Amino acid sequence: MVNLPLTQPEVLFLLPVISCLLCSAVSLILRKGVAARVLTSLLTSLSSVLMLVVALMCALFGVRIRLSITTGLWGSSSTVPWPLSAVSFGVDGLSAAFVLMLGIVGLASSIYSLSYLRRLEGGYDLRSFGVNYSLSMLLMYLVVTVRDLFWFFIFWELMTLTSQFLVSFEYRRRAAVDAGLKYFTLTKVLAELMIAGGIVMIVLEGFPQGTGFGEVATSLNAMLSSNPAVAMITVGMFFAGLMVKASLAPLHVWPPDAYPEAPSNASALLSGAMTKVSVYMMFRLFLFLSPPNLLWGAILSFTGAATLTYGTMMALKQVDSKRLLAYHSVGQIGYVVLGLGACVTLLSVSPPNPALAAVAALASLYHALNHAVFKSLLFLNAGSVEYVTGTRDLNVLGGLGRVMPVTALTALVASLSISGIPPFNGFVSKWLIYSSTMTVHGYLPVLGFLALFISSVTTASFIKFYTSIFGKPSRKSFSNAREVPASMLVAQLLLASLCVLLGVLPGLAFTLLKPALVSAGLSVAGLGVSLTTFSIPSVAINYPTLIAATLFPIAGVIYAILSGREAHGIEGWACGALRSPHSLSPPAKSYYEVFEEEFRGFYRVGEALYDYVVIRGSQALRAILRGAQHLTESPSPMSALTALVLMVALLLCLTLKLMGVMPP
Amino acid sequence: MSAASSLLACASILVNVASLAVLALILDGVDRKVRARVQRRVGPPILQTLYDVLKLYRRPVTRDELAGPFHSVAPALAFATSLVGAAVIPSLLPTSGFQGDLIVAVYLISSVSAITSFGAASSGIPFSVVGGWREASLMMTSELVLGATVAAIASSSGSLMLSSLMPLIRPATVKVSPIIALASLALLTYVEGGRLPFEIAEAEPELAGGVASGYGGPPLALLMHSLLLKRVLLAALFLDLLVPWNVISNALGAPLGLAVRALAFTLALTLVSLVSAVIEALYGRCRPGHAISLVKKALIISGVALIAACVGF
Repeated sequence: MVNLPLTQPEVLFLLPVISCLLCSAVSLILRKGVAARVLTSLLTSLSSVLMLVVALMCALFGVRIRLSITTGLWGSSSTVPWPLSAVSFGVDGLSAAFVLMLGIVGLASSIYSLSYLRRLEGGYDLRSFGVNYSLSMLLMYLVVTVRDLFWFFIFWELMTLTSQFLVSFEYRRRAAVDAGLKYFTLTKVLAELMIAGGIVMIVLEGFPQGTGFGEVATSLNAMLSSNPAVAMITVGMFFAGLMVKASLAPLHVWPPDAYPEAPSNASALLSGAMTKVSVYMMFRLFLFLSPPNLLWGAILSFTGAATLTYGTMMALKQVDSKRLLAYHSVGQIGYVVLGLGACVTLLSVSPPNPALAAVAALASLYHALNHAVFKSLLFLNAGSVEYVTGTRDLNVLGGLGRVMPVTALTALVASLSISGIPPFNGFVSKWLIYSSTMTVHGYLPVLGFLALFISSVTTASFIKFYTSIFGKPSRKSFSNAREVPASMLVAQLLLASLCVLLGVLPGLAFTLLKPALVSAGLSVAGLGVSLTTFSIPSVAINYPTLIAATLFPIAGVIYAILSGREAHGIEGWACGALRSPHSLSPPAKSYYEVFEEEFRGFYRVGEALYDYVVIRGSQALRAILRGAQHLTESPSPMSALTALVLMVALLLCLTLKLMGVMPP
Repeated sequence: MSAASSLLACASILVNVASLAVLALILDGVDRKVRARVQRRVGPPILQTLYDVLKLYRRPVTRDELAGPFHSVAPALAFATSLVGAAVIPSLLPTSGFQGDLIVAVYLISSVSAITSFGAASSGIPFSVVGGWREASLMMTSELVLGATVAAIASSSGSLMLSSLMPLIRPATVKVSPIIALASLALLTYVEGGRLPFEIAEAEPELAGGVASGYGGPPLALLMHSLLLKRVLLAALFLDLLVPWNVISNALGAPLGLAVRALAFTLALTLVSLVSAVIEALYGRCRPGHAISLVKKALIISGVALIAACVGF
């Protein structure tokens, strides 16, 4: 039963929830056809707009939403409060920032769906897509706004469930089903670790007042002083669950399979928004629920740096357009987590550096927002190309820039943005990451150096992505290729303009993200930010608006003058060889063969680590499971007894440790 | 700032950018002459590159019919980027009115390479496409070294603002890491300048050509001009961190100080160009893999600088 009457902000909060639920109901009723497609797209677009309204109201007008709902389960009359009996939601600055990302990505991919779903409606039942797409959006919204650990677990698990149906939507293809299963199993297994962490906390602290985030923070603090080792392990268990969803190394193995197999609008939603949900919880965990800790700062920073390096270096080798983007998703989340890690580190070093910590947190949030925009755009671009040509193979694609000019232009903007070319949005957030990591002593400058190097690898990788689709001639003829329908173009143009806007006007993003920093208790008073300039006093200064205001007009005028000049065309030149342009066009796999050969040492180490951590780890798990299965099916007395004794001993040790009887 | 002083600042930036753009072409002429003399050839006149570019600007545009749309935009964008780079990096004249940032400067310089590669790899000519890959491969490898150098500089100085970093070595607080970082930056100035044996992208000594082979007429001139300007900007950035230019201009006061500074900076740029040309004259081409491998090894120098900076030396 809802506590009535509702105030205006509470109604505002509930509107996207109602809209998403309505959308899933409509999708369920209308099985296929134009009505199903149009209504699903319209309602999910509406939900996204409503989410954007919530986010903007909170970020720009300081509206704070708190909503408590009494479910009536187990009754409130019971003397022991039970988490299921009530749930509370809240939208503070941090939640608003992530609702904003979800709203932007949701809106673009929903508009895109209007025409894109045509590709799928012949072979598949759109009900499954509509229901799971809208429910995934709803659950992401709930995960970033819920204020209760217990309900967080519930929404998190449901989000995993619904999103895996999106991954394996094209279930007639074996690869899609396998990718969905891989994603679901990995995220599910590690979500269990999170729940185990929650149970440990409940066992130790009891939670007499319920599992609201305020109580969780108090309990974690109490545990940190009474039993620090167990508290750290508990935080570690949470982190492992978040790591896999954010696809941090070495648990990054699912996106390269899942994103390519999902329909492109779903890939955009998963990569653009769902990975951010994990990042949101990391912010909540490390800046709100637990006090800043040097060890966790180091773990976050190094994990971020390892992820950005490994993900991007692997992306460089890919020749499947969406697989390349998936590896970049891994890499870019590394940047975001590095920013958060730098923030935690700078807050916990002695003496603390709160000014630079705020810059690092801003860098992380800014890059998360930028990544949401440019990566979802890139997935939509790859989807458009697949929609038109039916392939994702960069080796055969090419020459589409002339027949798909708008898609090519938006892909170029996204590629320049993710590469951090001034003055696009990636440039400003990366500049913030470098400024906050490089200008101190300790290990952070080394990680900042990796970030700078990897930024150039990202550029190279997107030179390959863009030019092998839209630039050089194709290796196969795509004579039927044409520009995609209007709704797909609108979605891409929307995101491309955001890439420019968020880069050229850094003050805009700062205004939207500032409440998140303030809610985390970080001081932004020392930063000199105007709409056009970003300055960290005596550390660094950036003026992207000025760069844009000079660069674009100069380039535009020169280009206009050249376009008006007399011109003569040449049809390629290859030392006089008379061949078709298709046969002469070099394949995408050859782009960086020389570079990859020179850096083979890195790839070898990466492969070896992958082999040890992922392959052997899963083999060991499988062996343990087989052993357990064998024991339960045909137990020989001795082995059963040994296993029983071992298990009892293990449980005893664990209990004693948890109770604090044994030294940590 | 009053309207008059703003106008004066804008005028000084415009004069600086224009002078640097012309100087970039003249310095290439000096390079070519010195290389020829070292190799016992007569060589072209010092103003030959300037003549070449001016002539190309008057020629009709050559359009690569099989290329993607960005191919024709790239030279204009690369040139505009290099001009903006020239405006934000202090050189002949200080960038009066606003402060520079090392990351912004480095990114603008690298963007010239990136945009060139985007354009070249969009070409319909296979040699140009391969040139684009090579340019990008060299860019990645030099950023490996550049990243460590920039991080070392930032960590040892606690700032990325050019005003705090000019000069990097100060007698009051001599540290090891800035000295090594400067050595590494000198190497990078040479490598990123696209000089032999690192001239793998255009590969002029090969008959085939590279990044520029899809361009003709004014776009070719723009591309050549932006790559030459990028070369000068790298040298300017290196000189900014090495020499206390502001001390020179401030000690003598405007306008004499500015004139002396501009002259001294031109001489310093010429000196960098001379040294580079002499080294370049001694080298032939090498395989792209070999060039990348050589650059990669420079990480040892910048890595040492970075580690020293991280621990406070």
